[in-house]
Amino acid sequence: MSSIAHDHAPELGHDDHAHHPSGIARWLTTTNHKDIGTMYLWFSFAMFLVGGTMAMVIRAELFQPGLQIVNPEFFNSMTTLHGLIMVFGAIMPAAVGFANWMIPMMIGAPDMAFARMNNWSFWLLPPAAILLVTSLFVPGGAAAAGWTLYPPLTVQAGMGMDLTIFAVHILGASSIMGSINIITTILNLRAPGMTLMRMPLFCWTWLITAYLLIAVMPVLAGAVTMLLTDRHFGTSFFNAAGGGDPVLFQHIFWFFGHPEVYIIILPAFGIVSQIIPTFSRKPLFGYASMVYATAGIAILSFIVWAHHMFTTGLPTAGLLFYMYATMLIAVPTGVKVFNWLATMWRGAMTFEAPMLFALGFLFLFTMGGFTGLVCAIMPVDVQLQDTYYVVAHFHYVMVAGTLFAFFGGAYYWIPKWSGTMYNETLGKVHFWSSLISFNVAFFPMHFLGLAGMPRRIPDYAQQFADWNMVSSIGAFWFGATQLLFLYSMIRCAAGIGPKAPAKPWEGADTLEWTLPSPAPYHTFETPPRIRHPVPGAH
Amino acid sequence: MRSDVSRWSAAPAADGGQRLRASNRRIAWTLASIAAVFFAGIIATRWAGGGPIATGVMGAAVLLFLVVAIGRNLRRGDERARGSTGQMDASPREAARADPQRHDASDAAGEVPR
Repeated sequence: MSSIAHDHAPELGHDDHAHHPSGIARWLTTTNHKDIGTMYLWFSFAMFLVGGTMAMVIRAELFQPGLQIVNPEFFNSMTTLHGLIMVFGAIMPAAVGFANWMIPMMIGAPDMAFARMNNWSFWLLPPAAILLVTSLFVPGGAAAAGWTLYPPLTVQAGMGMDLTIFAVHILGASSIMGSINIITTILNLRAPGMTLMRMPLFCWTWLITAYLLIAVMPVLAGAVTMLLTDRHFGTSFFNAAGGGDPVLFQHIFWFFGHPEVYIIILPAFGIVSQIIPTFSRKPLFGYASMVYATAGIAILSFIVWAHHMFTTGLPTAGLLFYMYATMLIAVPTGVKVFNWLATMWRGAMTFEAPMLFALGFLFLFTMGGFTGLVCAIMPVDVQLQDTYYVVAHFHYVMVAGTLFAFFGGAYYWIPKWSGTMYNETLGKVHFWSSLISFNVAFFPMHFLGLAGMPRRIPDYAQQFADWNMVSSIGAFWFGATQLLFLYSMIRCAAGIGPKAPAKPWEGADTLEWTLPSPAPYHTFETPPRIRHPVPGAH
Repeated sequence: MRSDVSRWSAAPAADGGQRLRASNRRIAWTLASIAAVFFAGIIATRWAGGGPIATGVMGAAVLLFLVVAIGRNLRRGDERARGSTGQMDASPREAARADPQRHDASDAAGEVPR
């Protein structure tokens, strides 16, 4: 664990690249937050492609009723690994990648507080990913009990489950180290004058996310450790045969799992909160209320976990408590949506790719949030539990929410990262194609769920055939569309395209835009002094 | 839409750097210990079985954090009473800022628009 003290070059940023090794050694040994952020982002996109390929297998099997392509066990492994890889391998590392790149530059810090630990946090990820993917090839196959890893299936499964447990441990350790780094960086390395309430909202959302991670990742690690001891060391935490309680695992898992939803979505809120003011050419409406709403969402996320368990036989008082507490989350979330809309109100808006993705996020995430409210109504949820309605709901939150925000963030900051402007036409085609194909893929799942189609089953009744075919076509279309994004990013990384100015967006006002593009290897070694009272204010 | 950013120059205070590193480590260990309590606590609670153990684990952890925090505060109070500077209360970053060797060079460096 090393900590960075400030160097004191007289420049805001300088571009002396002699200070780091080149070739593979640069990437293996780097302690530079920009290098590590880049690795996180490329790693997460690679895992997004792996998880996406698994989604294609799932949708190919569901294209028609009956079993055509894979056997049911493999199908179950695909749904399990798709969930685990997308949540732990794609979305969370992407969020950490954004944090690594942007937080030090946004608060005027020279790097993360613990630069070597930052390197270690990243390099834990590839072994975990290898464990997850190679579990497909061990005797008994990969874990196949769903990403929630519920016993008793997970107590009985083959050694693929052990690899999954080990991978979850490693990913958890990486997340906790990353969170410690982010909290310490934000609390201790802010530039003079950059008070907490002057920070860009992205930093606030990550600060709160990091606290959530510290609180809940160890709980998941504890749960899977108990699972491991049930499997191999004769304990009976969850093993009903020995007097254990499988429902206990659900309580512990969702104590982690529901805050995890906000761990995933809060950084996306932060990104959108940077993009919308920039392209509306107005300051963010209600900055303080956005901060408090974010904190409110985080606190409430700890007391709603059992809404995932309405059908497990909870007492009536518990059902009512969790139902109303879940609905309460709509209040701070509504504050955020209102503030984004108010920010745009009478703004001089333009619709470049980042703004399009932010608006797509706003529209689709609100829909996902609304179906979440439907699921929160306990009597309704009893009908919808484990149907495709729930699959539609969380994909509207995870994909159209988080992923769209991350795409928007990538287009927004790629000029700063690479020094090259992306191709705007390509970006807009990517957006519209993603928006339409996403809805073709996932909107019909609402109908399927309402009609009673269960999730995680490779076969289905004839009555569900038409909408499943539509959904599969949309999924293939959505998957293919993401290659446009890959092409666009590779072009920028290769320097193909117009050179980006230091501040390509007229309305951008945060600290990173004071740096040249691409951002120099070392920045803010001498801290800037911030004097403006309110971030983004005119 | 602009805020004023000015540059600093001048050498760092080695003392300020050390204090910053110490503060970084303190935050890191505090957060790591919270994570450890949650990890070990959930297992211990289920191992020993039930609510009273859970309350005991959390209570003991909170008590331990309080003892450490109060102990540190008392020690700092003693140091202040022995004539240390008022900078003991300042955050590491503030202390570094207050170092007389550092000066605000905004006039020379000019304003950098945001």
